[in-house]
Amino acid sequence: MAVPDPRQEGRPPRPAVRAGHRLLGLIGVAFLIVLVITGVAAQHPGALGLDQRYLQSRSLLAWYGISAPDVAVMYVDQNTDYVQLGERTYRGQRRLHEVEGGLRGVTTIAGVNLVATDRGVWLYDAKARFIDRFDPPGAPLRLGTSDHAALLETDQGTFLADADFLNWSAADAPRANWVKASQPTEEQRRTFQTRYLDEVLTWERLLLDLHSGRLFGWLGPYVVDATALVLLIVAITGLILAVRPRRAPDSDQ
Amino acid sequence: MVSTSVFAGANSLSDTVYEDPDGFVAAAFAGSPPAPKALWIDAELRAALHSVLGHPPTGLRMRYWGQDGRTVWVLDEIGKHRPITSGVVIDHGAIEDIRVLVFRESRGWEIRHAFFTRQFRDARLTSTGQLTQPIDGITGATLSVRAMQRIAKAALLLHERSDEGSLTLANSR
Repeated sequence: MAVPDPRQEGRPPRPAVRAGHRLLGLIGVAFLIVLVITGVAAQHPGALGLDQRYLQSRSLLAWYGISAPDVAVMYVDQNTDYVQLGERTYRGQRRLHEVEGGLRGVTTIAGVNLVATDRGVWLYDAKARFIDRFDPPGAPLRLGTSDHAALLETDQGTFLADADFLNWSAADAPRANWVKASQPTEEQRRTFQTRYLDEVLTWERLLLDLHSGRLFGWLGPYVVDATALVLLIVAITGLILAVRPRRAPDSDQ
Repeated sequence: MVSTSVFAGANSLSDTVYEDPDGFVAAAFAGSPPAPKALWIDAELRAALHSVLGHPPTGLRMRYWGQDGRTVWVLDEIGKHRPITSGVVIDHGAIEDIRVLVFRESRGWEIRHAFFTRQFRDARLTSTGQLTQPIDGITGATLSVRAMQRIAKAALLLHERSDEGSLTLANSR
């Protein structure tokens, strides 16, 4: 009697392959769901508003190692606080996104709010809407007024603005009233720092870090890589299971 | 008198300054620039700028220099990540000169070359907000090229609304 050639009949998949495929498949699917949701969301951060929504969880911020910097400097102008924490400048509750550099002074003339830093002077209207900016020669050192005109001292001289803040002319030894910084109270410091922390961590960053695995530290990306390999193995074992013929029904039964 | 560099972003050490904005403005007026003027952005102009730039303008007013139907604008526009500062001279509604003054991106600096910028010469703005002549791109500098096109359109639009632009319209009638 001839012995059947197993290469012609095909060998049924081993139970171990099927069991392994199932286990890896379940692990892979769990990761895949997370990756798909975070990936799709991260593709459209603007449309979903993820780059504008902030997470306020202090434990999450602590996980990231994020803490609020101390108040670098504070000015009070017309009963409004101007505070700088880290690279951010706030006017009351509102962050002045345009302002760059270290705060050097704030004053208001004819309804126009001038915010000077070591990189320039930013102009705002009464509603904190950005008007425009002026880059003087040299780095500004302090801001003040002279006979109701804006005065700016830089490391290259002193400049006096016209009524529209368009022309800044060199001024020699003007009568100056320089703006002075204020010292925040402890309660104010805490308030400012809370405000800072409330706008640090966006949903976009969280989802991207979850997607890449970086949320879980240096090991996270490797876990994601391993998951990708698991999915590859699942795909390959799935192909094996699909291509190879199923076990023939037992003829004894 | 010190008056320039309004919309130019503050420069850092990594920025490449090809031409000082103050110098560009002075050169456009043969060394004697007029006093700067301000063009306030009303709702209509804001919408028009939004249309050509693809985003609303950042400020409530734009500073410029104008004389005898010519205006000079120093404008910022982001190529990919960081603003490109350009100077544009408009003469009676047509671009006379456009140059990259400060470049802050890591790629696309080729737009500073004259072979590219001279394509903008004599370009005007059509009624649909397009340039009257085609601008050939540069391989590898697509976003910078587009930023320059937006700057050119914005400058032409701003010129139309400026005092000097009104002069241009009056003379053409």
